[in-house]
Amino acid sequence: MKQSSLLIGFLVIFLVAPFLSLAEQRATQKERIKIAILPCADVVKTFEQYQPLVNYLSAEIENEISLVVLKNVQELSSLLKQNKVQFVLHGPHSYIELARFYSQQSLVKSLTPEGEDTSSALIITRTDANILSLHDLKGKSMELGQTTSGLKWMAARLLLNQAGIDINRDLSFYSQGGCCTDIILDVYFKKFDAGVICQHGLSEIKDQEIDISQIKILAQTPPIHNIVFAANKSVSVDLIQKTIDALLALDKQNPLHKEILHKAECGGFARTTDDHYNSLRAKIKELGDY
Amino acid sequence: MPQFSLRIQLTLLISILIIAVVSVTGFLNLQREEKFLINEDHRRAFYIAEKLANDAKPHLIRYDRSSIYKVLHDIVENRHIPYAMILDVDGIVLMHNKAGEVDKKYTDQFSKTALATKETTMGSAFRGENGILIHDIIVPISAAGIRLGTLRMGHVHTEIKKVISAAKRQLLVIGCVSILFGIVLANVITYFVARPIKGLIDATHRIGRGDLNFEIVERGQNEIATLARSFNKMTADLKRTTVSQQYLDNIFNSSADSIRVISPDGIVTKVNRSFETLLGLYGPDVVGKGCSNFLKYPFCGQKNCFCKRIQQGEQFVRMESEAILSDGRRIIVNISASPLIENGEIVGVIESIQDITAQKKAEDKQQQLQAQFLQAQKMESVGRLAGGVAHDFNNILSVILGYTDLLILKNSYHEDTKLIEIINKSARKATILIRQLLALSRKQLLEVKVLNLNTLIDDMLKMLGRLIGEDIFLEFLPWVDLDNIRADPSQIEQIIMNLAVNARDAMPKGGKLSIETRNVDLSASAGENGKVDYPYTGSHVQLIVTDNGSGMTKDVLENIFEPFYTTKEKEKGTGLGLSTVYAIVQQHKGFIKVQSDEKKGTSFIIHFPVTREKENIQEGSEKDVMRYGEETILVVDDENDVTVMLEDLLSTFGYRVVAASSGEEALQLKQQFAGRIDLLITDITMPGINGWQLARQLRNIEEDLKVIYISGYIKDIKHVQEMLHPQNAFLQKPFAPNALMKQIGKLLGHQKLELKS
Repeated sequence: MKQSSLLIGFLVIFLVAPFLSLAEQRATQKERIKIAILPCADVVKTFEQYQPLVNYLSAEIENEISLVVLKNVQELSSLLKQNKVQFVLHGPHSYIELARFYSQQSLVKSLTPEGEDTSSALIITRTDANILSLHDLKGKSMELGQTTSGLKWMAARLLLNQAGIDINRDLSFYSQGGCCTDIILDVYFKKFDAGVICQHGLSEIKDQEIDISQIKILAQTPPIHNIVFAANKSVSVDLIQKTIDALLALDKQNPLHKEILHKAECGGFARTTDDHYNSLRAKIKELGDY
Repeated sequence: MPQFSLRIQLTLLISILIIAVVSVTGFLNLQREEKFLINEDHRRAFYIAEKLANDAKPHLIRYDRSSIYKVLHDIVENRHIPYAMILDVDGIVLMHNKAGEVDKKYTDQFSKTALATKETTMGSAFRGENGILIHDIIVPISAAGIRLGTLRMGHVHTEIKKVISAAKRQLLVIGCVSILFGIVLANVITYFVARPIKGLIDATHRIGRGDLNFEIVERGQNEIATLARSFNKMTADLKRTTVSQQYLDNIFNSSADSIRVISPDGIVTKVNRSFETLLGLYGPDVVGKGCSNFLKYPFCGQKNCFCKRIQQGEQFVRMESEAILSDGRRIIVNISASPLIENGEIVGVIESIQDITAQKKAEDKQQQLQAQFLQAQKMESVGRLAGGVAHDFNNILSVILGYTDLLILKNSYHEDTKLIEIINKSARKATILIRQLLALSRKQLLEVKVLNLNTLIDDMLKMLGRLIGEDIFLEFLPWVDLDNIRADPSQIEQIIMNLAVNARDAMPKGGKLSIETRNVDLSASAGENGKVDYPYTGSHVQLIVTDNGSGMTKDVLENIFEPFYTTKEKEKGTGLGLSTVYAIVQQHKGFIKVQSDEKKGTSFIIHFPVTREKENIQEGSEKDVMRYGEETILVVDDENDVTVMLEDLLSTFGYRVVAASSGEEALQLKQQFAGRIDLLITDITMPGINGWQLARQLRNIEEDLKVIYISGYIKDIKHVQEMLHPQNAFLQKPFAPNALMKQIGKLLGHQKLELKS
């Protein structure tokens, strides 16, 4: 009896062991975390801009994270629905549109290098364009940012709207360009009469061999919130906490963090709430984008 | 190796240089161009690959494989790019231009190398399916330090190779055209370069031929023109300072001496005109031939040849030699030879030849004449001596012979007759001796007749046989139809006997004596080949007396005709035999040659002028008988013994003799003598009135007076011969009584009467 019991015991162990081993292996195999981003312009530039931050987070939360650069809000929405992305970095107007997918405890906003939580866009023309005010843009061509860009698309439209200019009605034509540098060059070379760039966009053109004095700032948009970092509701609280802690731990005084922040063109991250975006949400509604 | 003109050489050189430069330059340029094009192709391929990677990068970031596929597919449509793919970090094909390759894992070496490559690079090359070499270009795709993937793009040089081939063809055509153009250009250039040089060469030829007036036309200021000026100046200097070749040739050819230049190896290199004349040949026929081909010396090839002596260092050689010309002529030449020196080395021998044959002949003739003159002087002296002696001797001998003959006649059976005969014989020998002496001096009167030597010799053969003895074979070879000669038979007999005696003495152990006669025409043979040199010309009769005895040495031969020269023992010879022969021959206007070889024998060849007169047929000789007479004979001689002897002799034969010792006495006797004088016998040479004068004066008295002149020595034989006529006769003292009586009989026409005993 004892012998049969022992035999059965060994048999059970023999049969169960592989399953136990597999279960253990599965337990130790951590899930790959994806951070989606909606680039305002160039995909590669966006990737290179945020990959250091992704690397930092991977190291901090001890989990492998991959950066997923998306095309548009629709793709992001789809991925959020399918829980294929855990975190999202995007502009405030995209957040407003997709806020229903995010955990409210996860909201973190980025700060400008100066520490501000809002930014403005600039409308530029050539000095010789005979455009002295926003009203003069009527009948002119203009290059705006991608719909994913809060500043170059949303903020610019808000400003133009305030000035009574409907881009579809009053402009001779408009286009959604790429990065700030491309838009400045298009204006400089008179491809467009005017263009919209980020607040710090002109500083990026310094390396170009053009006479920057030929460009003038026609107007500055009202400030809007910076990029919002949000977590999918499906993400565990623990992971969200670890991630937010890591983001908030970034200190621009820290040489290591400074490089990461510089790449990401921000001065750090700070907590925020959904209420913080209500005024913007109202303006967007005025534009009728929803 | 063929020799090309300067122009061809220059053309070839420049053409080769052009070909070399064009070829090397073309090759290097082609290499450089090929390398450049390939590098450029690589650079373009790199650019395309990097552009492709950059274009694919955002799609790769977004993992947008369809977009990546479009990018790759669009590129691969380019035929230079056979494939393009993007591998992930594990080697899995994220995208490939061939969609079927997607998601495959590449573990080949190329892929491993590509995954390990950190920057854009050219990977290994490999052959594709169609054998085309494919270069694998690898571009790592990274962003933010993350290796997103790796692009591998194939690249072939097909098109660029076509371009390179086209470039090669183009370069080849350009090269060929350049070479052709270069050759033409080289030809033109060398023509302009070589033309003035050719002018210079032509000028050197003309100047070399002696045309020092030639001047080269100078054009421009280049080196050729400078050279031409220098050349003209040199020619002018040459003209001033040197004589022309023509001038030298004129001198060379104007020389009366025959001159030739002989190279050290014995080849004639130059001859002058005199030399051509000497040989009778044209210069070019002689030049280039061996020096002894046309002119041979006895010393040719020997140590003493002047050519060898000059080459051994002698500065001047002068010699006299016989030379044999190519046509067989033998000439005597004076040779002067000296070295021809160039740059301190003997490059030849200059031989100057003087033909002295005529001069030599003249000298020989002169010497001969001189010898003859000396001989004549010698003979004259001998003759004078003989004449002086002969006069007295003959008188003496006349007395001795007269009386002994008379005694013999009167006392034929007397016991002392033998003694008288010995005296008479000795006196006769003395008479012969005196006659020989007279013959030497040619002072004896010849009784010249037309005779034929064959007849005379034939008559002598018996006597000669006895004379030479039985040990010697006597051979007579008469010439048929031998011409006649004018000669004194007794003198000719004397010649033959003397020669026979000499021959006998030369053959003490026997031998052969040959006497031969011939007709010869000396005009036809004299001087024809230079071998025979006769003092006379015309038809002659040769008398050849040959023995095969001991012969004579050259020294003996030179002296055999000297009077009193003899090689015989003292008692056997007087030394007058051959000198008498010589004198007799001379007196007959003939000449004599002697050929003698030691131990082989001697030949005496005597020449007598031919006469066309007919031979005097000898009538039967009158019997030598003594005659009686009754006529009155006047005997005149200054030698008293002779007068007495003649008185006695004539009285013995019945004649009435009136004797006188001089012409004056004879004339006085005639006046006193009342009777008729029938015959005068008178000595010619007498003090006072001589025999001739006496006879003339007596004939004034008696017109038909017969005269017999007698003399022991006649100074003027010619005068004697002129004076003799049918009423005159001459008897050489001493004479035999019967000779006197015969002459008396002839003159007085007496009947033959026997001498009364």
